[in-house]
Amino acid sequence: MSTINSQKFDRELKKGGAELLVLSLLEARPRHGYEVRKLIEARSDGVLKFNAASLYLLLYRLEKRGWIEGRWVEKAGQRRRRFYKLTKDGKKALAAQRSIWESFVAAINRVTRPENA
Amino acid sequence: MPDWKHEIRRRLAGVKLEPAREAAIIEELVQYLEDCYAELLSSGATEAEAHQRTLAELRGSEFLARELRRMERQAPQEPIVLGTNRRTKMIADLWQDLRFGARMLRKTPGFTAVAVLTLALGIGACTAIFSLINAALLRALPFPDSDRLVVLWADNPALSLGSLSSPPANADIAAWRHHNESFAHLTAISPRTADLADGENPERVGAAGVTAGFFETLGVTPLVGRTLAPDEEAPGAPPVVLISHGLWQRRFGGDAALVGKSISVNGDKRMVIGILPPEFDFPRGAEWPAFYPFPGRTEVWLPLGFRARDDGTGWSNWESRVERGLVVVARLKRDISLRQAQAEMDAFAVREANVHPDSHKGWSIKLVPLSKQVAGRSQKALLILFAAVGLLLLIACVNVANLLLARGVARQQELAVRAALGANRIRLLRQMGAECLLLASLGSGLGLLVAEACLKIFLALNPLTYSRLDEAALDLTALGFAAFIALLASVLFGFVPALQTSRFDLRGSLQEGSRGAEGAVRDRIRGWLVAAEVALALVLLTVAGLMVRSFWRVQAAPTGFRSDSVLAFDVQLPDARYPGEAPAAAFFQQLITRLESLPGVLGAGAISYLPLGGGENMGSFVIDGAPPVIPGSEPAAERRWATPGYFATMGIPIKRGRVFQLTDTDDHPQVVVINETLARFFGERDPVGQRIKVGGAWRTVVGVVSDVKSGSLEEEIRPQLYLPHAQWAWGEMTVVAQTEGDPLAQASAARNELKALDPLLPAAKIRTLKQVVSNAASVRRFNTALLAFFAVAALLLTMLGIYGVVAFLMGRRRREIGIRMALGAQSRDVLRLVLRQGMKPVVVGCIAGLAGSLAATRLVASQLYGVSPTDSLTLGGVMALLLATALLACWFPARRAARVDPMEALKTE
Repeated sequence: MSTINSQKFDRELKKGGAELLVLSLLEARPRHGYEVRKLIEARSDGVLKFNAASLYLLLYRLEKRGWIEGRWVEKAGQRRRRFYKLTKDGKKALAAQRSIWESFVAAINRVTRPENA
Repeated sequence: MPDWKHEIRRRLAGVKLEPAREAAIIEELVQYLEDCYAELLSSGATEAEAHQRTLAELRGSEFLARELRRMERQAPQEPIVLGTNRRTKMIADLWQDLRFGARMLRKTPGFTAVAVLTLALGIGACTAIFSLINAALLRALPFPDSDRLVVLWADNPALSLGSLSSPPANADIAAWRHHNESFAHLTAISPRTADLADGENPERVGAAGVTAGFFETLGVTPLVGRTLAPDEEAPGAPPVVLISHGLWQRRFGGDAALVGKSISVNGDKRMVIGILPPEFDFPRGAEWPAFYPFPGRTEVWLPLGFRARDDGTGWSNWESRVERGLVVVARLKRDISLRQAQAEMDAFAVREANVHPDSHKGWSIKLVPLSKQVAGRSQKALLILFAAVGLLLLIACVNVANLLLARGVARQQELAVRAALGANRIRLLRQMGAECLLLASLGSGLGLLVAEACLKIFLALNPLTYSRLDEAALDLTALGFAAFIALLASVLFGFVPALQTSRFDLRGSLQEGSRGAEGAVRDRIRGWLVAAEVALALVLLTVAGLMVRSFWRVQAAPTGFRSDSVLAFDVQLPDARYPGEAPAAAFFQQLITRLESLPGVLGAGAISYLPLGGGENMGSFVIDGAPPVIPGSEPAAERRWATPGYFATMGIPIKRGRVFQLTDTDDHPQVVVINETLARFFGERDPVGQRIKVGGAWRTVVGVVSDVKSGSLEEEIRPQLYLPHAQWAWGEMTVVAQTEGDPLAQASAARNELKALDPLLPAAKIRTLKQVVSNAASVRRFNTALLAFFAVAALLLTMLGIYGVVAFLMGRRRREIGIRMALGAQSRDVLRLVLRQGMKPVVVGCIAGLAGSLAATRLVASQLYGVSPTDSLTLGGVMALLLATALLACWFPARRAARVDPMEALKTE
């Protein structure tokens, strides 16, 4: 089991794994902001919701960190949109965060497993 | 569609984003809201509902604004550098490099001290010699347009004058004064002395007899008064005189009303018509050939006093075609070049040879720039010294280069780390260049102190026969030169080490205990540097060795006369009180008799020109019965006028016959004494009893005396003849007296005897013959001492250099030596190894240096005496000295290496 950096862990919890959510959604292909918001809502069955302010707060922060990269894309007959994709560093960060999260979940599971008499 | 842009802009107003960024964020958020609004509408919400729920997306936008504000603040600020351009950046980088270099030098004080001291020695010595050269050769003469001033000489290859030129004939000078195309002004000068008798202390000062255009030719105007008028030149004109500023202050108290007053000069009253500016003292004795006994400094200028016509009295006149005794200086016209003037003189010489073949056949006129004339005697010697000191500087640079190479090895780790952090090779080179510049600057700063000290010593040793050297000082030109050679030196010693050191194997360097192929290359370079150093030192030592041997030879060469226990002083009889020959002859005879009666004086005599004392009189002679010679090419001999006691006083041995006796007076047969060299002109015949025509009269040779060194210690002996003073009296003689013990102890007694005969006559230039001989050797002594000093310094530096390199190499090979010893090598094996390693480049250097020496010594051949440029004793001796010194330098590190404890060596690294 990998050692969990406790400070990092705390921070992650507070964010509720929001970064993990966004990064994992951008892993498959580039997406624009509204698409990310819709996907999070859909895949969590409405449990997790972002509004514009909080989503773009996250996106700009991730972009500043260099984990995602935004690009204006113009498709025929449409207005241009800003698409985001994962960078190499972003992929590394996603892997790290997934690992931390999985460790956390496994730990919780072990603790909460019903005891055998 | 609602105006989402306005809404978003309102909420992001406080962020103060850059316009393009703000527009992009707004556009993106607007799209998001429009998508949201459209979806809500399509899901059945009313417009109002959709609007409200879409607006709710912006809840918490203040956090977004805050975050954006924070992100914009953290954006990397471009450094605002004032006036940024390439040059400013370069200066800033250089400053940084210099500061870093200073820090690095401070960290290794031992290395820095040795390097700076070595450079200081080289730069300081160079600068000192340069100051001398600047004063003597480079600085312009202190006359306006001094490059227009020339000296006129005459040459006749047929006469055995050696390399000396002759003055032009008086008649030629008169012709030029009358008419010429090339010269704006022309003047003739003759050396004189002036006995000043006003007041208590009669004093003799240096003087010159000049023609009327003298001051105009040089472009000098008197401080007070006027120059000579044309009608004041000839004898019989109202007697006038000009004096120097120094004399005016010293003897006349700077009397403002002196001009117009009369002063006593050589027994005559002369009116002072002008006082020259301070520092003017032309002509100076040091600047003219020895046969012109100009004083060290001229303080009195008299009219030349040549008669216009030859009136049969024998006085100098402008008509004489055979009398040649005046220095001629001329100023070229503005639009005339030296070549044009020379062409005119060539045509003149040809014309005269045709019209007056008996006096002018074979003669040519040569123009020499005054600056060259003045520098002439010192030029070659100073240039040799400059070359020597240049070699010293090169050796110093090689030493410092080796030190830098060694230090470069020690700094490998540090440099490797810097390279890993991104410094490229150019940067590292620049950094090391800055360090070299710093070292050179420190070296030159300290070198200025060394130069100052050297100059003081040189000037103290300075034989005043080097003119203008006493003006040498560390002026702006010298400082500029010091800065220049510091820069040059920093390139010389810094270039190779910097190139070597900045090239290294990064990975290898960062590992502990690494050496690699770079080490071998560096060792080879160090070896070459040592070889170069040894070669340079050998050249310098050889030249110095040859000069030292020459000096010994010169010193050892017999002068032909006794030089210790003889006192000498000059007496000049003024014409006014001693007119004619008889009074002069009687006076000197009386003086000599009085001197001989003094207790402590063994003998006395008088001579017109003391040997090696300067001054000369050449005259042609004809031997009775010898084959006739083409008129105009008769052999010439040095003529001296002597009293009978002169030869015994001076210890000049008589070879045949006799010397003068008291009976050789005017009313007796005319006699002459000759030297051995002249005696050879008689072939197999015994000269005694033969006749010689001298000065227009036949004289009988009564004796042959030994040759005597005359003009200089190095000159070949020329034919010399002596005429009896009683038969041809001169008013100006040097009196000599042989004493028991220290000659100077008799000086005041001698002065008293002279005063008793004539209180107005000063005993001028009281000296011993030992001083005269010593002075004759002073120039050579000066040059040789300096060369020897530089050679010894070079030897020491080379020894230090070899020691440093061998010690360093052995330090690095400690481990290897330890292994060898652990494997059974004996101490003496190690010793042999180290010595072999250390001496290899030395031997290579010696071979290269040998070739260099053979070339260099050829250049100084003219300065040698009695020793050939390829003298094997000197070459061999110097090489042996160098090898022995190198061996000694290798010995100490070798011994240390041989004492290495194998276990210790293997443990530490």
